[in-house]
Amino acid sequence: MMKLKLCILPLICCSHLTLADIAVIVHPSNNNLMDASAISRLFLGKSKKFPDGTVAIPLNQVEASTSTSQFNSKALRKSSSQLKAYWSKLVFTGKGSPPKSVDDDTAVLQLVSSNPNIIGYVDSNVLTDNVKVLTTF
Amino acid sequence: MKQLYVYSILFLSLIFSFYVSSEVRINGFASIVAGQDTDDKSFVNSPYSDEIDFKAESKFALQISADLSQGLSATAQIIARGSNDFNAEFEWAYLSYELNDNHTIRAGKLRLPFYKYSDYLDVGYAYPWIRPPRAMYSLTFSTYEGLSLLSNFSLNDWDIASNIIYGNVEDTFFETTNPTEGQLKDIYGINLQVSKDWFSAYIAYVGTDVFIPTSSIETVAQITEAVSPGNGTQISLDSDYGDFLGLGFTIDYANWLLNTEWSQIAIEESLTLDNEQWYISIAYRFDTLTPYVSYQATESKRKTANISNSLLPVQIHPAQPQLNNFLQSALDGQMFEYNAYTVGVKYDFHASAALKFEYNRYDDIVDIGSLGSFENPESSGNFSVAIDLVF
Repeated sequence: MMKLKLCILPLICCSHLTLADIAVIVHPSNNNLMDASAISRLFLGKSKKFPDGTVAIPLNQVEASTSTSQFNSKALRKSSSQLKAYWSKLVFTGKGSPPKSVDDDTAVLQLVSSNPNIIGYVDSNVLTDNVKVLTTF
Repeated sequence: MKQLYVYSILFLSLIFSFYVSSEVRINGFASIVAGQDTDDKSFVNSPYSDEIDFKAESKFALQISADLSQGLSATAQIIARGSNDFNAEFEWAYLSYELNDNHTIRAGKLRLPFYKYSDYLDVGYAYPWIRPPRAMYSLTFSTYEGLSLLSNFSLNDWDIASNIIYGNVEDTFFETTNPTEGQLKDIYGINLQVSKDWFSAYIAYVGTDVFIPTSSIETVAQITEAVSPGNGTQISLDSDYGDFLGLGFTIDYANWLLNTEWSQIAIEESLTLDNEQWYISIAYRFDTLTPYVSYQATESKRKTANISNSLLPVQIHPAQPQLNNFLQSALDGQMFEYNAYTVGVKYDFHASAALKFEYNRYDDIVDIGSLGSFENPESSGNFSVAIDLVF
């Protein structure tokens, strides 16, 4: 029995580390429901509003953040160079600019909990009651 | 230089006068390209020779955009091209105003929306190749001064984007063969793009009055006028209607990227031939490595001269050919056709930079060799290496 537990333990730890979910979060007063495609459209600048018509301000994290790479690959399904190429097409034609970036999960939590227009993403392990989860990836 | 100065003043004064309420962003991109042709008989469409060159396609660009709030913004892009001795010139300079969520109007110096990659032609980082296929991206002018209305809609899961333009172009045309200051007046056009998930397609139409008094054509026009009064205008590029039709689609599915485009260019009532060009390119992304292959081709269509069978006076041409025959050889002398195969690879070695290697094999195929080019088709290989970055 002991042996079995020892075997499973590292598996659990590992899976927990690699599969930490990314939670897309908004202010608790924001009652919009959004699926993966609607979220991806907001973060790619293809739409600028929540389904109820209010202005949406997507918030990125800096490239170095692990939440960013997880979000890019799971929610946007793009590598960081694909995303960079995507944004350079819009930036250098004056058609759009990428969302603002903050340093880490903490900064996202703080901004999202203080502004109903902001939508961000954080590691699902750091969630607090001051934000509402739209979906996880 | 004067142009640069005027735009600088305009732009800086805009930025600084609104500085308090505006947000200024600076972005840039650069490409360092080295190339060398494999044959010493350099191919006419290649900017390289058989000696390695770092200048022809290298460029640095800075873009400044100022958000003046309430939907108004000013953007300027300054490019220093190696082909222009790295003199900085304004490539774009415009004001943009968001009318509402779906429409943005722009005014100033803007890019003509001919091709899929027209808008970011210079941003090497944005496409897999070192340069877009040259046969297709053959028009040497790329900007105009005027207005543009950008519209965006979504219908079910489809995104529809259009760009409607109106303005003028003043440029030096036929730069490599017969540099001539000319104008494209009342240029108008529309580029309509639809996209969904992994598929996107576009169609573009641009029409304009072409006024390019190039000396070689003017000489023939004068001869025509002398032999057949009133018909010189059928030769000159004197405000003749010219148009461009282009279309293409892109499939970006899983790790595959397929691009294909086709276009046709024609100018009425002039000593010019209609041209048709296309390419297809397939790339596959293995994580940071993206190998690609392309095939491109362009050809002119033969036109028959039909103005008059009167003989040319002996002072002009000792053999006294019929005018139609004389014009026919002038038309046939412009015939060209070539194709090219490309293999290359893009390596994303850094988050903001890509390294690319590319080999092109250009083959000249001329249908009618009235100027001797049939005897002497030019073909060449070309190796290029590039580093593209964005910042």
